Amino acid sequence: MSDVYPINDYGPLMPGLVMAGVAIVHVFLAQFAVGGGILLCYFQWLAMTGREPHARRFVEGYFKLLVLMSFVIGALTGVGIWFTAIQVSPATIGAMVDNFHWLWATEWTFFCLEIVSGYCFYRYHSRLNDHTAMTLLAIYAIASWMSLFVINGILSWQLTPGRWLETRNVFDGFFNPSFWPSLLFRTVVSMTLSALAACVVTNMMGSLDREARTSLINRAAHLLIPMVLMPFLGVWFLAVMPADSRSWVLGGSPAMMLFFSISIGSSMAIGAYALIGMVLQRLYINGATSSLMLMLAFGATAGGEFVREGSRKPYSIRHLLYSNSIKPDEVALLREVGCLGNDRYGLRQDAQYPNDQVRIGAKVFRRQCSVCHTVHGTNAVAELTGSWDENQMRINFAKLQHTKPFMPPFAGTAVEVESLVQFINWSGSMRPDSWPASENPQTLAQIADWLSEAGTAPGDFAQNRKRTTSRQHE
Amino acid sequence: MNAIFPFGLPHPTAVYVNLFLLTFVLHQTFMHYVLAGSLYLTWATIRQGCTTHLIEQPLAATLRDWMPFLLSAAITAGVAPLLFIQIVYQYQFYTANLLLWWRWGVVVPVLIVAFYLLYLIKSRMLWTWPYAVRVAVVLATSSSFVFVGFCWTINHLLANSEANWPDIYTTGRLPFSVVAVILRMLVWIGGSFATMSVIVGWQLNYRQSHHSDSSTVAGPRELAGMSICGLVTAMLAAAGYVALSGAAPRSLVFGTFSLPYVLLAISGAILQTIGWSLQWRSNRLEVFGLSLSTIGSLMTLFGVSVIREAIRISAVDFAGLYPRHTEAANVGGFGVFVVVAVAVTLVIAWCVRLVSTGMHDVDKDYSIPERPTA
Ligand code: HEM
Repeated sequence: MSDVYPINDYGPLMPGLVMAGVAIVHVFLAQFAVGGGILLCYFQWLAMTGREPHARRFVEGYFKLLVLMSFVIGALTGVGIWFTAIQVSPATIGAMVDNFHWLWATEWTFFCLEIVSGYCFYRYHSRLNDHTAMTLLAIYAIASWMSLFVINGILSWQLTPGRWLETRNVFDGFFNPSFWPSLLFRTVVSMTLSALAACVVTNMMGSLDREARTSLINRAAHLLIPMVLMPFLGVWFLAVMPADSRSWVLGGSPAMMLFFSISIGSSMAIGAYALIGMVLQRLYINGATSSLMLMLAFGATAGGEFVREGSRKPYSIRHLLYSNSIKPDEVALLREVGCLGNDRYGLRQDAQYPNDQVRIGAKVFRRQCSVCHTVHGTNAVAELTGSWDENQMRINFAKLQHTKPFMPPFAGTAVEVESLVQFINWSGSMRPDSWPASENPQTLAQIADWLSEAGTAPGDFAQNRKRTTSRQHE
Repeated sequence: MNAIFPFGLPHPTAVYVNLFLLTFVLHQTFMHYVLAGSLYLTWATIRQGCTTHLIEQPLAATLRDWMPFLLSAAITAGVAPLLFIQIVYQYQFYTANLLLWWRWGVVVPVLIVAFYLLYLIKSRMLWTWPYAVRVAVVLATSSSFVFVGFCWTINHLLANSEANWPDIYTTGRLPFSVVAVILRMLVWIGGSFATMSVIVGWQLNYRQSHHSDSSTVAGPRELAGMSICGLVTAMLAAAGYVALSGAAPRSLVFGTFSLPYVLLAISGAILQTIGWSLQWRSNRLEVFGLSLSTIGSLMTLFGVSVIREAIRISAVDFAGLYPRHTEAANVGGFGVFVVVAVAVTLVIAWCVRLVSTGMHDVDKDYSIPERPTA
């Protein structure tokens, strides 16, 4: 059986939201750094070839921003993501490290190269000849893109492990079905972010006149042209996604669809403005507008990251680990022996619980539900089940994966289902001091039947369709 | 554990532990620069210094100038041991993180703030501000680094006290002796001055050899004094710490497993002391003396890191972790890592060479404006 870790309670926040919060900031800054490398090479080339008289000053100003934002907050939120991932799901990050640590170590070497080449440029650029400056920038750009290349393989594996599931070959996992669309999409996003940041930086260069600024902005806009590829890359990504995940994004889960739409809507708004206004009409955009566009891009990144995290459900690593850190092949055993056998952590403020059954329920909730639900805050179980009667709760928990297929199957005994029902009811009833234990053997027998009807396999999102088809055949 | 580290260990375990140790030494090297550097700056600022030209404060100016980069290097270097610790002690490390919970969560924001404060310290602006503000800024910066180190210490101790985990989870109370924690902190705080002195020694030696005016260089005696005091503090604190720990860790530390590393650490400290004594006598930063101190410093850092590991190994069921290590070693990608690591090392060397050969002949102005008189 897998190790059980102590689980923390985030009050009204669900852990997934905390993860998404850190991830969004980090991804935004990391992609800005990747695109920044490409953009700086372009501007250095413009400076060296005399095509853009102010390019040299721009490179200096932009690199300063890159160092102050990306090398500080970008790097540290990267460490922060790791710490947050451990808080949210140690089993998930552990499995990722176990399977890809050599590639992660490879990514680390690119980090080292990034900071050395970056700092060499940052520190000495005013004294470097053009050729050396360009070489350093190119090394920086390649190193930062390579770090994207490596991490993209590891992250996309979580959603589409592909042939790895049979071969367990690290490269089958790395070059998985969503590797290329995801890498190309992220590269385009990186270029977009860097170009929008360039517009902000240009507007901050107070000593330049309007004409000079327009010229720099129009140059930066060239990096927005690859945005035309986004719809194709997006469709490619959707096409290689597992069908159930695709169905959540395309309407199966309102929250996910909403975020997906925000992401698409913001990207389309930026793309249309960029291509028509900035590339074709060569318009000038001022500081306020470019900041707004950058914020819109932040919104798009946030939506995209939320969808990326959410669409894996009920898994955190497809077919290998459910979101609640229980392995699919452990469910049958946990149905027999219960999910609390190897959980040696008591409850904080144990005295507040009215009886042992509720205590067990609280522990079951902590182990199986708390990664995606709170009791009363975000995605609150007490509210979601508020209108259900007890039997409805029993059947829906016992058949969890059929209640909603983005939830994993319940991995525990009938007693644990009943305890969970009592815990949630008690919590929903303002946590009174006393609460009767429910010990009806018939209820437990009924739950046991429901559990065995549900089976231990994950839910099937297309069950309705199959049922209809089989009826038609009859 | 009857053989000298790492010989008695299964092959995969030995590989992962050594990779952890080597990258941890790298992390410590850079981290020590920032930690001791910020503490030194705090002291220098409180002493009313640091507002004048580099000629009078070369050590402080060099530290101010380089600390942001070395913090970046410390953080980046820290990522590698952070990766390998998750292979070697995954369960223990994750549990410690979870038990510290929000207390662990503050490490990153504190580091972000400290990083920006380092840029503020590097800027000329701060040194035109009133004395109290300058002291407050440097004090906040150095305290942040000490705090981050303290958090790592607590995390480490927590990971090694499995029997207390359930209690810590429910009560939130950490069952560590204050004396032991302070002694442990004194080991790395003291040691950091020794490492920092070596690195700054080289930086100042470079300036010395590239500047006609040798008065731009800090007195080697200041560095020697800091290094030797730091080493003595660290050694005494380490002795106290080991004396306080139980019989099991002591027998592993002074047994075959890690006794050679105790000797390595002590020899390193002696070598550093000789290196600095030579420079004290000549009152110059010299390549020979600095080389001795550098080799000594690396010996001490590696030796102490192995001793630290021996103490941890005595606290966990280490043999029970071997199957995990073997399983981890079965996944592919090691070849890619080795090839890329070699290539990247070469490119890093090339970057440094590019900078030294591709530079115009303009000297950087390190000066800080005088504080305006009221
Ligand atoms: C300037 C900021 C930092 C300081 C002052 C610092 C200080 C320390 C200290 C003192 C220790 C040893 C603790 C002990 O043995 O008692 C340590 C260990 C460690 N640090 Fe850092 N650290 C810093 C930043 C980081 C960062 C950002 C990372 C990760 C990216 C990191 C990764 C590690 C790792 C993996 C260990 C080993 C933990 C163990 O073996 O249990 N450090 N650090």
